[in-house]
Amino acid sequence: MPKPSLSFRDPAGSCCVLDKSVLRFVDRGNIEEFEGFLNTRVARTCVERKDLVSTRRLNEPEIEALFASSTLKPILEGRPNSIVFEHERVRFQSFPYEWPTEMLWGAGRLTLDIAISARADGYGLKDATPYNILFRGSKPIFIDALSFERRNPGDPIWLPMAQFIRTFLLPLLANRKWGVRLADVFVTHRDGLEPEELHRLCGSVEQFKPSLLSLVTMPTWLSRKAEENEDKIYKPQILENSEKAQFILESAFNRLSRNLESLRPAAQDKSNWSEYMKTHSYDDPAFSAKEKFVSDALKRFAPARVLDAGANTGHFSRLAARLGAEVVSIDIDPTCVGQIFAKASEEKMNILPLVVDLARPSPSVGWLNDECPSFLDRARGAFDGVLMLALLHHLLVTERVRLEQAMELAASLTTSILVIEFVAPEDAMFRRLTRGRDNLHSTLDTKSFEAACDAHFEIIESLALPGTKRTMYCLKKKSLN
Amino acid sequence: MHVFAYIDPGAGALVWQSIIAAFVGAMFYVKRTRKVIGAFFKKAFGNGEDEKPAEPSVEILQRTSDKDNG
Repeated sequence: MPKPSLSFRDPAGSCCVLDKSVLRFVDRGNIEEFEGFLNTRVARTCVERKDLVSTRRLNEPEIEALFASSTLKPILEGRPNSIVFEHERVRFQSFPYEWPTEMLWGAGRLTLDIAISARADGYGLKDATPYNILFRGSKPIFIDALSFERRNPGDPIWLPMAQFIRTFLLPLLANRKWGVRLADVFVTHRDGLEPEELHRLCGSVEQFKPSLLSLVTMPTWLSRKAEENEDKIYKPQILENSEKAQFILESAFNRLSRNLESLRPAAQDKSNWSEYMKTHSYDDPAFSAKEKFVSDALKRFAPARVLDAGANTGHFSRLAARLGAEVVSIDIDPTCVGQIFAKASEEKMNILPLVVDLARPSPSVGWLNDECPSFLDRARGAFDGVLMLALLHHLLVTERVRLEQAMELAASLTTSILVIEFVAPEDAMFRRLTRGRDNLHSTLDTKSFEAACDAHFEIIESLALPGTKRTMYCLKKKSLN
Repeated sequence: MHVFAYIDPGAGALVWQSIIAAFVGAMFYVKRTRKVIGAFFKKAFGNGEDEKPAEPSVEILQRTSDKDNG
């Protein structure tokens, strides 16, 4: 087992992700508060509804068993003052830089709902970041059970409000107003966007628009004042009248809800690729043949976990999900991925759609490059079925990846099946991508493709799509021995 | 032991939240006074029905979750 990485920011405890579960180490001093929260009505309801991960305190024999692992032993020994809990694990981790805006919005909604609901039981969230949320299919789930703390009823201020604004509202605002991609925000900024960063983008009149005034302009202007009165502003302001404090807090949450609602992503505009399913380069018989080929392959091998690489608007992801697979769909186009998410949420399908470019996958991010594993670290070997439909020619032509390299990557992603579409250089879409550089791919044909497959796969079935220069292949990974 | 929030509370955003809190705090007394006067008139001239109780937290979750998941 590789060395599990540990979370470290919260002084109340840490957690480490294992293959099948997540261990949570809670400092003895925080046990009462932590278990107190787990026993609240809101926590139990959230777990029941799968809005919050389930948590179980490990007993002595279970902890003894963990000591048997050479990787876990030093971690346990280094935490003599901790109580060990176990969370269920969300199978495929994803991070805000891989989400379309629809998913960040959904994560923000869940964060706010949980923070609001927890108040009734005297608890509140002590942080409000998208890293507290993962997605199971298209459904967000709150994973940081240690984020809850008892609130003083007289406290009218929610300290994480600024973090909620930085990590949810401002990235959504920047995306809507200036087309800033979430990857551009979150790969380089752990804690989202500062109001000052957006204020620089605002015009002199624009800054007074209601949508910007409260979230961007006022906090920017007031930050200077804050620097002058540092001692004063960070002092807790506890009111004697707790009814008044709760009234103020409720109003603050209502304001955040309204802000979030105003930033709800609308049905997206068309992008380069979102209309592909209507305008793709084959006619209906060829498309029907392709659909049947993919469907037959999925029925025959029944993969449980499918990666649809280059998913476009998710037609084949939905096909796989309907056949019972747990699907991760990736595409470079956030508009397409947003559409997959919207449809998967609507139809409650087990599809996790992510904005990932297979030729430039998400890197490992964070402290020591060890907080959020890279996409390939998470994806390699995580699927027993991979679909690469109408994708290979983009890798070969646009990205200038060699055929052998592309097949090697595909072989590292799947443990069993690969359904891949070969697009010949004579194909109209292929030629559009080459932009006159046809000679670069003059040796590429089905023969050279099949030879490249042979290094990792055996060909189970192939089908030339009628009236096109495309051939479908169902490949089975060769076993190593 | 109480663990204080360890996240960055922001600077300008926190001052802005405090200013609004002071304003909303003043509104609290205005609303309460209005409520007392309203209740008085209701009692004097109305049918004396109680106000609806606040919705429990579970219902908030129920509602929003239904919305999220279509």
